[in-house]
Amino acid sequence: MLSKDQELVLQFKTAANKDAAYTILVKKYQEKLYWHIRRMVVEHEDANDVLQNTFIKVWKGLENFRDDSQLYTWLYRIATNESLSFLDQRKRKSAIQFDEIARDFGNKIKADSHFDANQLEWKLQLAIQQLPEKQRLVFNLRYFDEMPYEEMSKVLDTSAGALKASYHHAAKKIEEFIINS
Amino acid sequence: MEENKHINSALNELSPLLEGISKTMPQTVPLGYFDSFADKMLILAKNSSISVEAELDSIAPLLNTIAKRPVQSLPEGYFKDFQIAQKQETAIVRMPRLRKWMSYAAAAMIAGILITAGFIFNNNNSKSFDYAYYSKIDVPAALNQVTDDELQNYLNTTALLSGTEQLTIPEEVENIDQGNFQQISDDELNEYLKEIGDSKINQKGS
Repeated sequence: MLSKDQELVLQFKTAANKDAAYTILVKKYQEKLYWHIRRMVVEHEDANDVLQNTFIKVWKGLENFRDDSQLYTWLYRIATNESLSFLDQRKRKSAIQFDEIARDFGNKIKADSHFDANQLEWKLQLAIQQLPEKQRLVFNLRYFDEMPYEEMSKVLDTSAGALKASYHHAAKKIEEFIINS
Repeated sequence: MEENKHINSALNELSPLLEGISKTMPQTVPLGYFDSFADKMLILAKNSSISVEAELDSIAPLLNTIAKRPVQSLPEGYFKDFQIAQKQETAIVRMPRLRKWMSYAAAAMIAGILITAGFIFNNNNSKSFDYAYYSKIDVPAALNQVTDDELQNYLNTTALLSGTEQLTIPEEVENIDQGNFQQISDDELNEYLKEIGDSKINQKGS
């Protein structure tokens, strides 16, 4: 019994169904991947660029996708790598320190037209930006996407134990930030 | 679903505050962004992987009709004999440093110079006083050739060098009491003279 994702991959590998399968796949994962990327890069324009690059990579690589890994894990892996590449490029261009990056992201969040400093959801967004990049990824994947550690370890190439420890540290730091802010 | 419940209960234990916050993102997306995203993405993806020929066909179809093989010529058998020149390692140029044998050679040279100089110096000294030559000189005949003035000068010079007569310490002679002298027997006098004579002979002998 093939899963829906496996069926999609098979259809994509058939020339006649390639476009239709790709459109279904994009529609299925676009929002999840968009928000995963947006939590990392903060601004919509940047998230849009990274999301497009992610799906272009999917188009080029899906032909050679092997069924031994889950499609959504593979998609998250591409989106994560694209986000990190984007952030690396930006860091190289601006050559700013980690503290300044956190402040920069914080300012971008505050610049949103709907920003409300008293709303817990916004405080949470500000708190997440204080975390180191990798810890932020772990927290986002677990808290928002509710990804099991085993799957996350495939996305981030890190052991499940290390990811669990990282998530706990991140959650405590965020809680402390929210309480003190 | 079961997994999500487990994640949320774990979060409740870890941080009840975070568990209580809504997971809805407060940021917004432009209106209708996701509605047309998939269709736009399909066009983008197709264009990203468009073949070189198809791309050129749409831009300048004439170029697709020209053969792409190179028209320039190559030396005969160039690729057959082609070898990647091995990168020659840069020769390590050692800084000149004083070798041990050079130190020893320098020491030997200095020692040689000193020994040779000493040898030459000694040879010159031995030649400066020729004993054989002086032993053959007829001293009385030579003295006859010396004038009185020269002799006088010599004596004056030696007297000056050896000091005056007053500098010599006169031998102390005990005053002999006439009375005592008469009391000395002839045997004692003979014995005294004999002792004096023996001591002078001994002095001459030594």
